[in-house]
Amino acid sequence: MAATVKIMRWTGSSGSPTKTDITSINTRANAEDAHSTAGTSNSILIPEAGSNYSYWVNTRLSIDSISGGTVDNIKWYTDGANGFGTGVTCVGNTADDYVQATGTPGETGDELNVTNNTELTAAPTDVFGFTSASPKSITGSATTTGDVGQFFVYQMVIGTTANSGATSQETFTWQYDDTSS
Amino acid sequence: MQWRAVYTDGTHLDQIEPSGKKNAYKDIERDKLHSFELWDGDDRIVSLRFFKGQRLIWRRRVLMRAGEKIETIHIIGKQETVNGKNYQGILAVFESDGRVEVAGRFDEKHPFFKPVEIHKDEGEEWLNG
Repeated sequence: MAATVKIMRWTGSSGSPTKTDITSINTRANAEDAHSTAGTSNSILIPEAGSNYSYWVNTRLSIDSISGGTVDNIKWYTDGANGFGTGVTCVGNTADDYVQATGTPGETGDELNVTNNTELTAAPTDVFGFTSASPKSITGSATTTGDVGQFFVYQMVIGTTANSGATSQETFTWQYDDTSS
Repeated sequence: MQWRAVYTDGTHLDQIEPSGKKNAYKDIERDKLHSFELWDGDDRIVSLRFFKGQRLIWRRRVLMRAGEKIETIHIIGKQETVNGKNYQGILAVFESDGRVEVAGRFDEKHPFFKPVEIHKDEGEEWLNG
C-alpha cells in the first residue's frame, strides 16, 4: 500500500500549533491566523496605498501511515498563471520550521519576509514562478509517520486595485516519491 | 497498482502477496531479476524485461492538490552500462487512466520525468551520464 500522506495547514502558537488536514478541502488566506473554507469575518482590507497582506499560510506534508519504504523528493508548484485577479498576487518560499503568522486581524497580516519569519530559507518570491517544469524543492524525507519536509509558506498580497470579495480559487500542487509497500 | 518482481528461476516477489503480506522494494533480489511488472488487480499493465547487469528504479510519484483528485504515476527506470556508457529508459504509468509514457532519460524540466533520489539503502544503483 502507498504511504498515506496529507497536506496540513499549521496555525496557532508554535508551542502548540493546530494542524488542519486540507488535503481534500480548500483553505482561505484571510487576515487571521486560522483555517477556514469560507470565512469572511477577517477578510483583508483593500489598502488606500501600498499593499495589505493575508496572514501567511504555513503548509507541510504529514505521513499517517508508511510501511517498508521512503517518502522523499518533495516538490511544490503552481499552474504558473495567477488567477486571483487584478491587484492580487501571492508570494512564498520554504521554511525550516514553523513561525506563527502575525498581523492585525480583519485588516492585514504582517509582511512575509526573512525578518518577520526567521525560518524562511530565502525571501519569498512570486509563487507562480514555481511550475511543474520548475518546482520548488522541499528538503526532507521520511521512513516513519509524522511531519515530513520543510514548510511551504505563502501569503496573499493585496494592492489598491484589487476588487472587493473573495478571489478566484487557485490550486497548488505537492508532489513526492514513495517506495513504501 | 502493485509491482511484481519475476526472477530468472521462475519464482516471483509480489509487493503485496495474496495473504496480505507486504514485501518491501528493498527486498527485490536484483541480481536475479528477470522482469519487473505492474499489476492492476488481475491485469498486468506493464512488464519490463531485465538482463544481468541492468539496474532497476521504481517510484510511486504522487501529485496532491488540495481539494482535487490525487494522481499517482509509477516511474520505472532501467539502466545499463556498456563500454563505459550508460543506456537507460524510463516509463511512466498513470494510475488514473492507465496510460504509459516513455522517456530516454530523467529530465529536470519535465513535469513528471524528473529525476529520483537514489536509494542505495534500498538496493538501488543509478549512474549519471
